[in-house]
Amino acid sequence: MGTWVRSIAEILIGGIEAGSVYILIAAGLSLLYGVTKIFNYSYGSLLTLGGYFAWVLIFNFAGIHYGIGIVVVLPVMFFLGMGIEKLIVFPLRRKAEWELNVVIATLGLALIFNSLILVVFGPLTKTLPPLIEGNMKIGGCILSNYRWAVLGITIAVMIILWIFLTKTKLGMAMRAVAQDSVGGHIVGINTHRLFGYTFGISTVLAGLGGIFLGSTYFLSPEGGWLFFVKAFIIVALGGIGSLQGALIAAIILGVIESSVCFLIGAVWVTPAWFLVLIIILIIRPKGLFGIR
Amino acid sequence: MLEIKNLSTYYDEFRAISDISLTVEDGEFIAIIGPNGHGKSTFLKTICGLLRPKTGSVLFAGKEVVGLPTYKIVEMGLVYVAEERHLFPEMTVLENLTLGAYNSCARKFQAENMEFVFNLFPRLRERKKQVVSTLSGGESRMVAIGRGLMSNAKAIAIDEPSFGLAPNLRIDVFNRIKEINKKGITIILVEQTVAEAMHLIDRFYLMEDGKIVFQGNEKEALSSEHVKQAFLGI
Repeated sequence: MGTWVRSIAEILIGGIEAGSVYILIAAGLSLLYGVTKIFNYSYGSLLTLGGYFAWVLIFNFAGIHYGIGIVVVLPVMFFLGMGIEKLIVFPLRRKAEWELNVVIATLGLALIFNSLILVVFGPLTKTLPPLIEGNMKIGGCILSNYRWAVLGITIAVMIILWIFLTKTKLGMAMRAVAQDSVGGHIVGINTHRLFGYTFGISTVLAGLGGIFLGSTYFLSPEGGWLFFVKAFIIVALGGIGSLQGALIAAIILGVIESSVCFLIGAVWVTPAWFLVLIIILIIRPKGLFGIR
Repeated sequence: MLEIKNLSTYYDEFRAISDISLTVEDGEFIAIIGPNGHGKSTFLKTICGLLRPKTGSVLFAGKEVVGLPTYKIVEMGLVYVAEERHLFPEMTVLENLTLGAYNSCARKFQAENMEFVFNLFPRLRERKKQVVSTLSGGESRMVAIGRGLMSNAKAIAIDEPSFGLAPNLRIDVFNRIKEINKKGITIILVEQTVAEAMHLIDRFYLMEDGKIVFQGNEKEALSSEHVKQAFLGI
């Protein structure tokens, strides 16, 4: 009896830990698509880039503490995101068939980024060291401090994001444009500049998520695609347009990942996720909390 | 205040408005009436920057606004209140109104404009915290007009505010718009008919097939058979 309870507890905790790493990348994608209605196919590569940037800072500048490395990477990701919007998305938006063109362009960007990573860093996987060493023992379960740190940082980032979206003017403007973009024009919001900021924030979340994923799992040039797909499944399950939905979906899918790993095997995680998504979409086509 | 010359807007090959020229003085209340689908909304959307004309010029307070993005035109003081309203559905009345004051000039006057809006539409004050998607049609119209007022506009272009409302509510809407006009704000109203409010309006234009076919004041409008058809024949 005792081992069962412990197993379930381990699965749940493992699920929350897994989910918390996914929350960041899901939030970034949800925010971006919700506000701009643009599907950024380079999103997976951006999260990988974030991981590799951190790797470069920590291993090539030996004196740099992990935390400082992260803090340096984030603004770089922000401006990279804004740059993508300005140089690629904006010029395309004014022409016809922009939706298709943006998909193709961001896809191309993904290929470029991945190839760059391959050339500079080589094909072998790399790992980022965990943020904090050591484990804790609670009631017979062994939990790594590092995972708690990730969970803590993720919660802190989500709280900051929530405050930004609900209490600041720019944040309210983002939510407004997500709900009705013509309305956004009518009230005088500079939607172009807003899209730039949205891309920036989305890329920061991707980069931070990439760093955490890189230390939880590993970094590889093409690794971003799997996490991109996972982020997409989370956003779709939670409901497009709902940030809270994405958060809750991340935890649910994290627990599912943890259970599937435990019961069947890690390879079955992604198919299991798709299965859950399809079932939920049949019952609720808009996703769990979708508004569109 | 507004000088429009030779304005033409196309939807692909279709010419929605042809060669429109009209002038609106500071503080006037003008109405553009006419049957549906004949270019009235297109005209408003074009002067407010939501659509781009193929030819023509729009001078607002002496400055050319054709080609400017909508937010710049809002900053200059010309605001569009859409027929479809385009409110932010998941946000409250208060949040929608607050967002109306997004541009920096409007923020200084946010408190007093909000007070004016709530005095004009007392029902909105009661429903301040209510999410906009749960409001009735008439109430959401009020929010749309209120949101336009919050931008501290000097001129407001209102697109069919009374559409689908019961007759007594229609008169109500026109009266409230007149209140706004009395504050010194120029009003460009688009409607299918304004029979019950003719005495409130300074000048009328009749638009058919994307062209202006009549312009004049109330007396001239009532003495034209054509115009009377347009008002009462629909």
